[in-house]
Amino acid sequence: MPGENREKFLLVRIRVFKDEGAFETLLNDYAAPLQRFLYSKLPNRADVEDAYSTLIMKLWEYGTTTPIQHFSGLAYTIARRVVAQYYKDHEGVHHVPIADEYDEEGGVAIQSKETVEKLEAKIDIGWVKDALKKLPNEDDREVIILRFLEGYGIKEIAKYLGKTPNATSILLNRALKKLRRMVQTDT
Amino acid sequence: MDQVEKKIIETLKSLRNDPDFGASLDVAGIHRRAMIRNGFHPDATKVTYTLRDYLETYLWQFTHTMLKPMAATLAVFLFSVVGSVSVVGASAQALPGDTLYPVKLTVEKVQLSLALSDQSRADLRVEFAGRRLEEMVALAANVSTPQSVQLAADRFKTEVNNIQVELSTDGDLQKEFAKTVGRKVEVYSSTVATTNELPEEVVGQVEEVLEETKEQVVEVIITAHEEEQDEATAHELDEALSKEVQDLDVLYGEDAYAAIATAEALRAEGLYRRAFQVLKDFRFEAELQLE
Repeated sequence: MPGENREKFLLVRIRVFKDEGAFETLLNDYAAPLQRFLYSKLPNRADVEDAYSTLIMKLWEYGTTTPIQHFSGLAYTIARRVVAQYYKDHEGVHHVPIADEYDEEGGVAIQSKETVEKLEAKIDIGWVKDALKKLPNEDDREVIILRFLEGYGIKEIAKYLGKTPNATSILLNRALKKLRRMVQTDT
Repeated sequence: MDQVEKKIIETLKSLRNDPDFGASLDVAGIHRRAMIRNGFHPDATKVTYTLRDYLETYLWQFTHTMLKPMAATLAVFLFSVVGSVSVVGASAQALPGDTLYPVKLTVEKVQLSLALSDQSRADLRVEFAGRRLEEMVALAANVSTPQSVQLAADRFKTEVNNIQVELSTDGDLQKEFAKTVGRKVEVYSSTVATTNELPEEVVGQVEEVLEETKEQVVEVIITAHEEEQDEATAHELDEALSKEVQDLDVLYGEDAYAAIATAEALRAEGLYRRAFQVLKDFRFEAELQLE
């Protein structure tokens, strides 16, 4: 990702000089994570391609008319809106059900070494994929994906989600605990 | 963090290479095609900037971030000295299309650039949105052309979007600002609903942007409540939830009873996020069925 000063410079170039080169340079850095983000929310590659194209158009429109503080934050905000619009247009065909069985607050019981080993053995790629689908809300999924799959720091994720770093940290912790409880419940 | 959580995190990280999470996406190809579809030239050689580019960019930044506020302050000072304040005062009542309307907008810009704190800037945003709404209503009542009412509606939507940007900005004042916006948005909504002269299309657009803002306000307050678990935010959420329940009751009657009962039960346990989600899901499904 570009440094903060470089990003500011490119953002000014885009807004004031309608500099397509600056836009491409900036967007190149975020193309992969943004596409993966869309892919995690949309049914197929064709939809990702359409959504990504719409995202580019809206980013350019916004970037050339309005001062932007954080390019990545804006990009993810628009990406979420594009996804929401997709589901609005498709009349809830791919509506994500709200699971409720893992949404209760509660601590994690202390377990014996044998139990921990048994639980660890359960956790593999397939289990994690299912567990992500079962998470009760979109914010939980997003914060987990942005932190552990994309490798973003808490401050950056906070910008994407429009929350404070503190709230984001709590959200991440809770989402992780929900996954943790699923391991036990599924056993 | 225990061993099990560490294993979960480790496995989550390995999903980066999983096709289901986009590892097999042709990122470069999708990017290239999307850029071309939008009229860009992704195959052009990589852009490099010369000293002149840096100079003109930083010069622009300097003149607009440093000199502009200074010029604005000077302008206000001159206004007061040469007695042009009356023009500024008269412009306060101007409507879009009036000669003095640009003066009104300029004065607002000056006020914004002179705002000393995030709080005063946010308050100004709310005030300006209220003004745009008044202008829209006044134009509709004056039998103006549909185009001029639409333009006024667009200005109102822009101001509400500015409020949304303020709402998504980090800050200690975010919660208090959300409460203010929540109350104002209710006033805006009822003004729009009771202004018969507004074209139906405009009402639809404005209601949509207000609905978005309401959701954002609730989200900010829920997050604050989850962090602090205080009574003040619980009270705000109770009020917002009661309004939503009332709306659904009026709109859908018996059909909404099950969702309302679930939401009330969740509210009783302090699970506001889920309570709102249940009502939102019900509304979404009910609107789909109506369509």
